[in-house]
Amino acid sequence: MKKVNGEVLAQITILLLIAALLTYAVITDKIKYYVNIHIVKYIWFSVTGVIIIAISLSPGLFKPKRRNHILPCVILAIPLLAGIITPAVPADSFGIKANIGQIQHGGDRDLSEAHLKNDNDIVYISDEEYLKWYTDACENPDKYNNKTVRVKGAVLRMDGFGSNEFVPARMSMVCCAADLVPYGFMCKYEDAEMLKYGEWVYVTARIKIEYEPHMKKEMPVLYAVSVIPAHKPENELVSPY
Amino acid sequence: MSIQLSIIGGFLEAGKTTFIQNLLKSQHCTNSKKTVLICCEQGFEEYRESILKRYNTIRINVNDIHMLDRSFISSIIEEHDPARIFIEYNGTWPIGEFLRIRLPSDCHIYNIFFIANASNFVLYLNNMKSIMTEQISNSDIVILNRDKSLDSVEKTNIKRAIKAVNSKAQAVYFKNDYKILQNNNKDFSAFLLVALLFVLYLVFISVKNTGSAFITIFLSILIQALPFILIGIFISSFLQVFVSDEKIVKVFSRFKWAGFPAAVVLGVFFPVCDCAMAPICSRLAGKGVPLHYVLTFLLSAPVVNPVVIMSTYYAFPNKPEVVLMRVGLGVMIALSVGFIVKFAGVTKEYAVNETVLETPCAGGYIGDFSQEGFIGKLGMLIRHAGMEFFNVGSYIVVGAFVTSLIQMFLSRELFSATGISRYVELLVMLGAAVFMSVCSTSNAFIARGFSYSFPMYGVVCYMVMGPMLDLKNIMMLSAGFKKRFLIELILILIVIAVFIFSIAAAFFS
Repeated sequence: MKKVNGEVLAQITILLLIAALLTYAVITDKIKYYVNIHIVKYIWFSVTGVIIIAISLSPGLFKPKRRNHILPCVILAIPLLAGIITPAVPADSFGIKANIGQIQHGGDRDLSEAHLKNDNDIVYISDEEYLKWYTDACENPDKYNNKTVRVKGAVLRMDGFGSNEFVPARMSMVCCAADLVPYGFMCKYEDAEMLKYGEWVYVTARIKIEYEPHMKKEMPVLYAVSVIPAHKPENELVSPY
Repeated sequence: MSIQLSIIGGFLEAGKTTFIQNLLKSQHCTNSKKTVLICCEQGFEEYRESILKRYNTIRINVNDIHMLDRSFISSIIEEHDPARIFIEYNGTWPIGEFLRIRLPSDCHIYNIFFIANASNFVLYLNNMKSIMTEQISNSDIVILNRDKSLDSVEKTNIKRAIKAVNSKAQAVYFKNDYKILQNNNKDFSAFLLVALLFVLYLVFISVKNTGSAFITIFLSILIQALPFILIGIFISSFLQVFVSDEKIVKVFSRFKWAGFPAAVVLGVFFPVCDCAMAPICSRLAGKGVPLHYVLTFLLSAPVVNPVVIMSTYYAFPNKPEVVLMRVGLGVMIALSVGFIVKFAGVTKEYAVNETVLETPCAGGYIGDFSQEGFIGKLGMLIRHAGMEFFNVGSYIVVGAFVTSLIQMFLSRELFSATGISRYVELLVMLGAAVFMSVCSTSNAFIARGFSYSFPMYGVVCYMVMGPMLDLKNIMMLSAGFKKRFLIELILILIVIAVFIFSIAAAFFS
């Protein structure tokens, strides 16, 4: 029996684990929490690349060396460990999951989703249309002045917000989870303070174009008629491209 | 007590016999146990029988590498019951072959020496690169003798070449009264690292719920960067294997001043993420391309990258002046750094790590670098890419870790502070460039978030300086460049950025 080169063994293990985890993430669709969908094709390139490197290292497996440089392998094992242990969740500020039913919003709660849909004056923004609506409203705000809409978003409240202010927002991912930016307009709502950070809500609101002091410019501001709990959308994130 | 086995390698007439006789004298143990000396090479200098006798030493000759195996060593131990075994190893046999032997349990390798004649060291290294790097990379101590004809510069250069092949080996010039240094850094460090991993595992388990956002950001940076790093190291390995140093330096030395615009334009044809640039540029610098061109290329590529220009326009629609400012000021900064480096006369030796410079294929198993044929070279390319992957990979993991930690603890609201002076605004944006920079292709979208609370020149400063000062990119560069040079580069960049963007601020406001 021959001795095995520990360094090469560690390297091959790491490379194959990278390939396996990436493949798993793509197949189970968890990858969307980490990177934008358009990156996925590059991920297949990564998988092929590391497998080729692993194969090319294998002849060295039975050629021991006096000194093994294990440190790079140990460092590379850190993200692998992290990837194996933690479940993928959106890395936004909505780390705390919305818990529907726990919130008490008085009369609003009795309005069922079906009931609301019958209202004719309201523009309904579906989960899929959100991005289109948001960008359009940013670019042509006057089109939406005095319109009533119903959109779904997660509650976002930042330091400096008044007690009646919150932003129902969706996180947008351009490239990876490090560049998440909230997409949403300021919303005035009496009980904004009572909303739970990160919970998903339907906001029915009248849009007014006015000066928004936080953003320091003229933009759409939502005046909430009702805020009711909602299910989180299938795709929590939106991707601008 | 277990039997100490020492291997003494080196070419014919390097002075192995003399060294071993010295070793016998200086480390003579007083107890009655024997020393076994296995000679794999008959040198010019014969062992003096009287010395062997005096130090209770038995000599065994071996002429074939295949004779050295477990049963051979076992039979020696059984027959002579020695306290130690010296092997005068044949200079043309790879030490890796001996390391493959599963030694008897009461016997371990104590030290591996490589003896070299300093006066012809450089000559041998050039002509017998693969066998020599194999032996040095497996050695604990390299002993250099016959160094009288060398001056101190040559001596340091040899030591540097040895360090480049094997950073853990001690290189010493031989003296008669030389005492063997104890070899004490054992597998202890490996044990420590495994323990560290276990602690990290526990940390990850405990922060599973609260810290998962951090881990997601950390992983996403890596997942997103990985394909581009692979592209970078494959291009870098291609340059290393297929393009000779002379050829590439010749191409660049033909340019004089035109080299600067050429380096900028070259960036247009590398529409890759900036993560790919670090390995490519380290390789170019290592191959001897003038540093001022390499740095101009490195710094301007993420600015003139067509994908970056598109995404900037997309993030700031109807504001083409933002795109123009980004490209214009970015190129200006890249060129300024290029000029400064040129006039400062920074040399390759000053800036680039030797590991890249001398022998990138330090590992014995990488094999001969001069292998002929396209298929052979292709295999070399991939093996080389593998080595570089582990070299660069560990740096980017550390960089991404720190970046995501800082992103977690410094919320973006901190960057919306109002009522601060113009210079503080600039510095805040520079800080954001270092710690909060994402890929150059998407940082325009982050910048749009800043644009509500910061003036335009500051936002452009963030976009331009982000890819240049990004922590994880700098970490990756430190795999190829010397740390001191990188720190100087960063300082130069910050000074230039403050200067240029202050002017821009005066201009636009």
